[in-house]
This record gives sequence, C-alpha cells and structure tokens, in this order.
Amino acid sequence: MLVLSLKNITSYLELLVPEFMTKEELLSKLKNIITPYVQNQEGLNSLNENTDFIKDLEINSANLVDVVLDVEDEFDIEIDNESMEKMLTVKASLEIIESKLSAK
Amino acid sequence: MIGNDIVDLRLAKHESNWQRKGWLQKLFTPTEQYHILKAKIPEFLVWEYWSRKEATYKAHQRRFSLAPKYNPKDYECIENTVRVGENTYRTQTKSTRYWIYSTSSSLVTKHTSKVFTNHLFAKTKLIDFVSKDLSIDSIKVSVFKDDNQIPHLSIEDKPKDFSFSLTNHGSFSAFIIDL
Repeated sequence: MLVLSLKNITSYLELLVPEFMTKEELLSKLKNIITPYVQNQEGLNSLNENTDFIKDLEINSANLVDVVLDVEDEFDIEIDNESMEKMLTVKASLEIIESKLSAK
Repeated sequence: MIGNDIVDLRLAKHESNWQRKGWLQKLFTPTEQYHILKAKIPEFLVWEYWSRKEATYKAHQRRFSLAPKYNPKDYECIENTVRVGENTYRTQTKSTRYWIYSTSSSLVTKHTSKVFTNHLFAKTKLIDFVSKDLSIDSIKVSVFKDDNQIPHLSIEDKPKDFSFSLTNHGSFSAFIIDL
C-alpha cells in the first residue's frame, strides 16, 4: 500500500495539473518577471503582497506593459484590458494570474 | 486641470521595444496603431502618443481624484486632443532629438511649463518658481503625494490647491503649473 504524505499529494497534483502552483511559487515567478524593470532595488528586497509597482519599485509606466506581456508568456494566459487596469500591485497581479489559471 | 510627461528618447529606445508582439495592441487604440504604423518614423509617434496619454492621465486623475489605474487605451489621441470617456483635453507637444514633452489641459488657462536637462531638477525649480511668484521663502514650500499618488503643494505645511504636474525620465525633467 502506498502511503501518501501531504507533500506527495501536492507533487502528484502538480504532475496532473501543471497550473497548480502554490502562492510562493507564483510570487517567485512574478518576482523574476518584474526584476528587470525595477528601478528601486530596496523595494525588490522587501517584496510582499502590498508592494506597488510604481510607488515602491519605481517601474516605469511604459514598462508595465512588458510586465503584463511577460506574465502572459510565462503563464500562457491572456490579460484583458479590464485585468491590465488593475495590475499595479503584487497582490492584484497574483489575484489576476490565479483567476486566469483557474479559468484555463 | 493640467498634466505633463517627458520621454527621454535615448532611454526609451533602451527600455522599451515597441515592436514587441502585443506591445502596441495593449497600449494604443486601433486608430492610433494605424497612424503609428503608417508614420514616417513610427517610433517617434509611439512616444508622442504615449507622452500625450500620460500627461492627460495626470490631468484627469487630479481633476477627479482617481485611484491609480493602468488603462492607456481609454485615452485616445485625436488630432491635438486626448479623449477619455466624455472628457476632452487639449494637448501640446514639443520635441528635440533627445526628448518629447507633452502637456495636457482640461481648460485653456495661463500656465508655466519648463523642461530641464537634469533628472530631478524640476521639483526644486517648481518650488523656486512658486516661492518667487508668491514672494515667500522657498523653505516654506513643499511637495507631498496623497493616497492616490497625486502630488500637491503645501505652504507652511498647509495643503494648497494648485494644479501642477511633475515628470522625469532619464536625463530630463519638467514641471507645469497654473501660475
């Protein structure tokens, strides 16, 4: 008989559903995406859900579209205008990515 | 209400690839895309439109105290205006080989607008300008941002109702104020 630990179940789930990602994994993927556009390194070091892309990371507004396009490529999702409007914080971005992934 | 925006063209070339797949489509309306693609120098029109949209966003945000939003396609450049919903703003653009600078205004008012060849000069220069205009010590004038990240002027720590805007990008900065 196989004894499945919680960790095993999680990894099986990940095998079955590639979109299944923990919040930490999502955050770390998002961090990799935004890093090249960040102009305030301190903000990146203390990155959390409440981090604001413009205010805390000083990402240029013309580069926010690159963040959106990179998110689309990385997660193979489409960010519509209505979602893009809100993609100004880590929290909003994670919520949008999660909802688009679950709708796949 | 007024707003402004400056683009350092050399830095913009380095920071953004306007030909990236999906880039134009996410930022510009179909009509704007059409004009950009048939322009002699598409890249120049990209940044002209962008600076006009950004300047208008700032004027519009201040006018209605709006929370930050990333909705560049809701702002459409039509001739020498930018339209957002029912509102029309008049825009003016100046440029050199090095920068493109746009200002946007909901009303035709007397205003002062200046460009500087220094990244963060505009804020200091704005404070100098206001203190001279009102004949007060510049130490009494300061700029603070509200919860929506909209800047305001205060004099002796009292918020004042000036309509103004600050912008900086790369080697350049600028201010515009209703004075």
